[in-house]
Amino acid sequence: MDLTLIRRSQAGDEVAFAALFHEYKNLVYKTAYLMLGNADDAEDALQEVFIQVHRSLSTFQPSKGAFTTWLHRITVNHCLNRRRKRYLSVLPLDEVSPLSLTSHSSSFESRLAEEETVQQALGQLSEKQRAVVILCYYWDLSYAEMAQILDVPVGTVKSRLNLALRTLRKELETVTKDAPIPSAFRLKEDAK
Amino acid sequence: MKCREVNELLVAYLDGEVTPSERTLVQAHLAGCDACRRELAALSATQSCVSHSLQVRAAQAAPSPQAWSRLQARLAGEACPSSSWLPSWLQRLAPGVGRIHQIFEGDLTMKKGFALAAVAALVIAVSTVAFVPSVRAQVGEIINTWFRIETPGGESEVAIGGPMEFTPLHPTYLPAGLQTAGFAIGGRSESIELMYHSEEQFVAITQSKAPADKTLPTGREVIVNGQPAVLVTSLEGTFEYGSRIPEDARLTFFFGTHHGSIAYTDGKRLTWYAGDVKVEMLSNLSEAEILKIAEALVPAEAGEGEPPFQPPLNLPSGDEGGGVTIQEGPTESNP
Repeated sequence: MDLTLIRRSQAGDEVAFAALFHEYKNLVYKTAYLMLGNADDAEDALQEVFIQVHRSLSTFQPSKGAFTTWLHRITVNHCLNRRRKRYLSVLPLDEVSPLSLTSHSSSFESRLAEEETVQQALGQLSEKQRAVVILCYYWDLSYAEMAQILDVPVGTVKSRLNLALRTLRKELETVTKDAPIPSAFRLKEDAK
Repeated sequence: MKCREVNELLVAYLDGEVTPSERTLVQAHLAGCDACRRELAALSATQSCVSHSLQVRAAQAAPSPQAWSRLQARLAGEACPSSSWLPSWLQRLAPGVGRIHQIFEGDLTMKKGFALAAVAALVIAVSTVAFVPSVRAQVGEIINTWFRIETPGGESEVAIGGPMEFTPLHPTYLPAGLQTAGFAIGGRSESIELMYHSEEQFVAITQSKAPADKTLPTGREVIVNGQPAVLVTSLEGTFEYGSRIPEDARLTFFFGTHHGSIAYTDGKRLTWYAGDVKVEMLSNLSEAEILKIAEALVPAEAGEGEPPFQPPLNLPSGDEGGGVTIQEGPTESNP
């Protein structure tokens, strides 16, 4: 069905292009939202990416890879090229209640605080590292797929992800050392 | 295998991205190394945390309902060479607006900063937008006049730099099926043209400040709201909507994303004076409809100074995506 839509869009069928947009708008929007950190930038990215798709759809060749891979590549490149670090739209740490962080309950507040803490840590990554983290741990893509999207060797994906995970681990330990221990880390402590 | 080598592989091991031989080696090492097992658990916990957080965050994110209409307008604009300038803030404010065309007269000396501010001061407001104080100050310096023009299905709020020499009129009656094609403001805000069309019919209402002598062209005399008027009939020509830029227009707004033309052989031009406003109406509608529209023209709500509606949040900038391109003089593609 997607291939039909793509072929019709390539032939200039605007109805098919509209269907293509609605089919894939969430993929583009959510990736941009996670990479750029706010709705306005994600909305702009959605526009720019699909303008780019409309312009260059004729160059897409299904035999060379999946449409989603091609779309991910345009999206990630757009986000990386923005050169604006406006990622963090999270609560400052001092606004997070220590009580909620130290609580062992899974209350809404503590989960919220954990998520904000993780977002804060994600904000410490380079944009390229954040891209692999989002592609791997949100979209669940393989290293080979990520390598194709980012146009880098698989080894580069592997090292970026390795570095990113270790940075995240360190950041999460740093910001939580005085009180908060995210539940995932408590698992580690419990296992001791 | 040493701890350091195993550590390099742990993330890929968790992701299922190691070779079978690497897997065997890692598992053998983990069986006898507490430190690496703890490291594996920590990395696994980090992955879970991150994955869960991304899922939660992305679940709240969805494109706006206007995303497709905005894109359509952009794509339609791209198809027309003169129309790729629609600033992103205007698309957000008025997704139904297809394009803006802007011409500053060649002999008009205007610094870029002023020009951009003048564009920012020109607003089609259809929604409430936060008003940034710095923008208010900058815009407030140059806005002199504002007015509201009612259009089929809504209204357009316009604020311009410099004085408007008369209060524009807008029709309170239009035959069913006509939609707004756009409107244009003349070089020094001394004229305004409102354009409406359906598939086969159109009406263009041009207004300017009445000259002192208030002369009328030659033609059949008719009466509009008790005032003498002249109707010229059997005109031939082509009305272009969505792309035509009236001569000397400083700013032209095109509504909608379509453009086309209507050839006519039974065109009529009605000319009269409504107070201090000279009105010329060109249309291929019936004489009765033209007179009905003419008699239903009323002054738009207008004022001077700061407008009662809000300009866009962000000043457009030529340095950013979606910024406004300023062209001096007429464009080649739109003679």
